[in-house]
Amino acid sequence: MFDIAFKDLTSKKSRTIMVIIGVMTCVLLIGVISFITYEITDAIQVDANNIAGKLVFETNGTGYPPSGSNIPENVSNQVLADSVVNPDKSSAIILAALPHNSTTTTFLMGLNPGSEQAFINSTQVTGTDSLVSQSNNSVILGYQAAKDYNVTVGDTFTVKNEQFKVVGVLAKQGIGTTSLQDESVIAALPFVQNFAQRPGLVTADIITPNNGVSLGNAQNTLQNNYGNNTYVVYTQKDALQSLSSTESGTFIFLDMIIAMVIIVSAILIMVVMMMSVKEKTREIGTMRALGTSRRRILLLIFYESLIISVLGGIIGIILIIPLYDLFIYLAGGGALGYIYSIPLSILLEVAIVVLFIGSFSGLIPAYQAMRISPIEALRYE
Amino acid sequence: MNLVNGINLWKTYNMGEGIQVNALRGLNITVNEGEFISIMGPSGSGKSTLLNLIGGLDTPTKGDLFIDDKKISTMTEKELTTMRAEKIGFIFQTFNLLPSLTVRDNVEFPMRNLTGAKKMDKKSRIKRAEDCLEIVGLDHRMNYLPAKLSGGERQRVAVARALVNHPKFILADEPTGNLDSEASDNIINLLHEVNQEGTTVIMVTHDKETTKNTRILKIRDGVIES
Repeated sequence: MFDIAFKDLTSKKSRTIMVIIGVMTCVLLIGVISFITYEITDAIQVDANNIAGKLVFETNGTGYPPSGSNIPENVSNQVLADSVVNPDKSSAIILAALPHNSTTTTFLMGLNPGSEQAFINSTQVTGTDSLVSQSNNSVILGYQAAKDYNVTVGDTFTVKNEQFKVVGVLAKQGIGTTSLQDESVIAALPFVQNFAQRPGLVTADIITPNNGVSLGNAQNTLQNNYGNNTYVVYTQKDALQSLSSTESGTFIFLDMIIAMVIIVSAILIMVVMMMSVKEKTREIGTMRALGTSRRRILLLIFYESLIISVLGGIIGIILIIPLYDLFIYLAGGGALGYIYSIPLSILLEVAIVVLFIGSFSGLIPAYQAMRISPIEALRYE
Repeated sequence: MNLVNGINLWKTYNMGEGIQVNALRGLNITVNEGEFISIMGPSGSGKSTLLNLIGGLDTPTKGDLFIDDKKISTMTEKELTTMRAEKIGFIFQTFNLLPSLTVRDNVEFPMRNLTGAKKMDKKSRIKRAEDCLEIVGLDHRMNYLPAKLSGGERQRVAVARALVNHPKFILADEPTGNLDSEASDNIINLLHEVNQEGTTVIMVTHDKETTKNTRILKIRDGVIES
């Protein structure tokens, strides 16, 4: 019956094409939304990975990234001098917003020169990854920050009458939306304190425990010694939780859109298939008179809705990347060709949705067709 | 040998609100193998109801109906479907070809409904469909869609479709009702040829001209008069 279902669909080209376009649009929407969710999730994971095996000492209740945190420099220095802290791989940081013309936010990140690895980790760098022996206004730019200011190693740029000299540019982290590191302009701590007019203050301490000290021990020690309900010591797990809860509203909203799109898509196919069954009452009656079983009639309608869904799904999947590229481009995220492949998880999600829509929406019309009485159908005009 | 044997057949339709209509009122009918039967009668006389019963599309309310020695009043829906596929060839007044299929595919279609030992592979089905189209003189129209054919040609396709499964009998419901006289003569001649090859034909008709050389059964008020 598959070939007959296909011939039935091709004989009603206009309607079939319209429904396929409808399904394709739904698949595109689902794919693009899934892509956005995927990228946000990836960026959260990348941000959390940046503090893997580390602790963040910050003001209680500020979450991660600790942009709202403020710690007196003397408290920060006491924490960094504690015996559980590895001073070479730990650093005080200060975060300040840096204006530019793009839609993304850029952070000016102050670090103690020589302790850049506390934030840069193993990200590949063009130029140098150290601010030691560099001029006071030297900066290392994250991938997105370099794009936003349209600069590379050796260039200079000016913000609020302050000139910055680029000595290094970091590679992009992950495949998702930009991470904190991607959006950072890394400079020497005193320079940022001065630029942000926050003398004697830091935002947080990024801490690597000393050799032989477990992360849990270091966390307990620092919390007990310096916490005082004013400060908190975050682990990677806490940071991930904080980042996820920040985005949870977005995820719920996106999931709701996906659910709506699935429902609309299923109803669209169901209505069209019900119309098709109504139009084909006589044909179905003829088939039944000629000895076609009810099961095969059910299959015929079921196949039709499946073919429509699968064709719409395939075209939709093919168009997800160009549409997403265009979406990123229009949102100011850069030139077309930003992302080149669909993650398997999204492909699977869309494929499952397409099969679900195709089979579920075909069931009621197929049952309706199966119940048609040949006598009534042959009388039907 | 009796191919169709109906004894005291009643068919009552419940119209709701306690109203019942008796379409057949104790009708008796016997059709022997190889016969060409013409059933005639005015509108509402029970012709279509009788055809539905003989065609296995419906079952009698009362009485016994045997088709090829099988009592159909006790058959399940599935058994009736199998019987229609294997033993009966249908020809309708309005042709009832499947519009999205070519002439060849339309004729091939009933063979897809065969099951068990009678099931055929695609190659054999197509060969048989083409042979039947040759019999009705439409081998040059095999790849056409029904919409491209004249009324007479469409009915010849319907005759070919009715023949493909080597049915025990052909049920033709006013097969010339929508045709001009020339096409009508062609179809009747074709049905006589099929009948001479050994296939029983049971035809409902209003047109006396088409009943030559057939046994005429006149039906009125749900019973056969002669």
